[in-house]
Amino acid sequence: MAEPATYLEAVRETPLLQRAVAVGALSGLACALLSPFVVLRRMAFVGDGMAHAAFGGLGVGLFLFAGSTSEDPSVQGLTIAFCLVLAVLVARVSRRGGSGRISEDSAIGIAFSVSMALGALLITLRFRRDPQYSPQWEQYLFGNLLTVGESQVWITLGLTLAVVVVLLALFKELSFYTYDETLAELGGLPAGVLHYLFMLLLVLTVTLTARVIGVVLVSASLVLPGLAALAVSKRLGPALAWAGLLGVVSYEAGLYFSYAWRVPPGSAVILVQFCFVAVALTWAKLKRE
Amino acid sequence: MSAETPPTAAPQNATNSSAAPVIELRGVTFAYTRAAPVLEDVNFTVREGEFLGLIGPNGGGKTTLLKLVLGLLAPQTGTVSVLGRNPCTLGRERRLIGYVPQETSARRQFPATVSDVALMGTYGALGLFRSPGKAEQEAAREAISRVGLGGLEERQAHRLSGGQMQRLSIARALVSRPKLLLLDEPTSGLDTGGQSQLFELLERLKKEYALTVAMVSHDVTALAHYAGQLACLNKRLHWHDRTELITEEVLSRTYGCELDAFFIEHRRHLQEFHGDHAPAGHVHGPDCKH
Repeated sequence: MAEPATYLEAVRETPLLQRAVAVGALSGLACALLSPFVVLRRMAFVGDGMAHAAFGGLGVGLFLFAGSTSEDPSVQGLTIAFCLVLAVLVARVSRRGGSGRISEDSAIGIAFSVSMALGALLITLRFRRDPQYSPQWEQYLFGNLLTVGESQVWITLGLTLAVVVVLLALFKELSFYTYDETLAELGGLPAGVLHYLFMLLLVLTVTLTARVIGVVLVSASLVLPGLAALAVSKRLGPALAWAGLLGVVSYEAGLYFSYAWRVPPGSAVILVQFCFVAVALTWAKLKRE
Repeated sequence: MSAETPPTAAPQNATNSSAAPVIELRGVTFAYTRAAPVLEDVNFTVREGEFLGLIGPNGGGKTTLLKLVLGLLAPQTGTVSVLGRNPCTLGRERRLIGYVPQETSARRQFPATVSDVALMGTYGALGLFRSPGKAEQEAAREAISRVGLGGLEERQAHRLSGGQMQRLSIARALVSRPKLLLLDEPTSGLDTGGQSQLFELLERLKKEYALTVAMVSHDVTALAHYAGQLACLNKRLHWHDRTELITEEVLSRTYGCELDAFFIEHRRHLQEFHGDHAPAGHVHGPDCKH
């Protein structure tokens, strides 16, 4: 296993690793800041679904654009567009419950597992057509951080800034909306706008994070930091600060373990986050007693 | 359905009060699905300063009626008017309606202090991008002390008891200085002492804030005692004046079930004790198990 000093040395000398560290911190921050809201609004399943949708979008992009890779802006753009369409559908179903014959969670479950299936199908077809590229499933499913280009760093920075700005500007609205959607609407807040805005942030964050830790594990990082932060915080503001901190630390620690042990970054990040949750819950339990 | 029974124009509870109407429903019919209307030809008026109690079986349409008054639903036929306007188009003026919903576990898990929750009541009036300032803090502090939670401002909301939680919910609703207070089963989950404390509190707040109050509850006893007007809702509205006795017949017609033996026995006992005009406030509610 590489010593931390060796890792830092490597980061200093390799632009590739520097980009990985930057994108990791930004993705970790964006996910973690949204996670207390995801936990409190019980949207873990929606986050999970978004990640599956991202895989479907990736498949559609790779299939449609000949010779493309998952790094191309065209594929990225299409992935985001695909997720947005699904997000609007989900937002409509989840807003005041659908009255159709299919329950909300079934509808989401169907839509997203079909996306995943579509993604897997189209990626296979694409690589059968284009045999010089072989599908690197592991990269999509568990993260491919070491192929991040410079433009990706700027895109991730922009999206993370967007998350931070929206949360700061609409903190009171989003907190009331999270406390109780109906009460917020009756209080004169634009509950519908907040609902769709939150979905939009969730989609953008999931798609930008999927490349770091992979589509399978994205949804966990939308839940775990929030769970740990809520266990140790009395108010929502501090909970967001804690979540943000844990998010950044877990992504950076995960990247280090991934480098040191040559394991997928996604697994390392999620396991670090799980340790935080275990510690936070134990601490909260001891404090109660 | 409503074509066969045209809505009647006159309210079912014609009172001779000259106070301005706060809630007015005319021939309201509402259905979630076309086949089965939840509410049918409901007419009533609640005037300024009145206290309306709504009872009825589960599925009788009580919560639907509240949602119509809040403007969260619109009736298929008939009109709903709150403070002289259609509640669906009240927009920001909706905060003139204070709403105390049923307790939920989701709200209980939210990390906030008592003060934070009460402050939420000011958010609508503040508008976007503005944080609560001194005036809002002061309003929240006042509402908290008026509901008897003074000194607990920094307590975590989820550590409050059930009764305190309901008081906090009322404080949050009062911060925006509503003219109408709607409560959905505020006493469910409270013990008898907590229930009567809550009713006493409402009685006092009603005067202090010059409120009109409408409450949905299963607590027939307390409602009959505190509410000036009592209506039983089971798809249609059965109207009762406070002075009128709630007879077993009326309740069993509304609830659609036989009342428990204790209730009937208890009424007979009360009537013997008080004569024929036993105060309605002493009547015990039915315990329906369908």
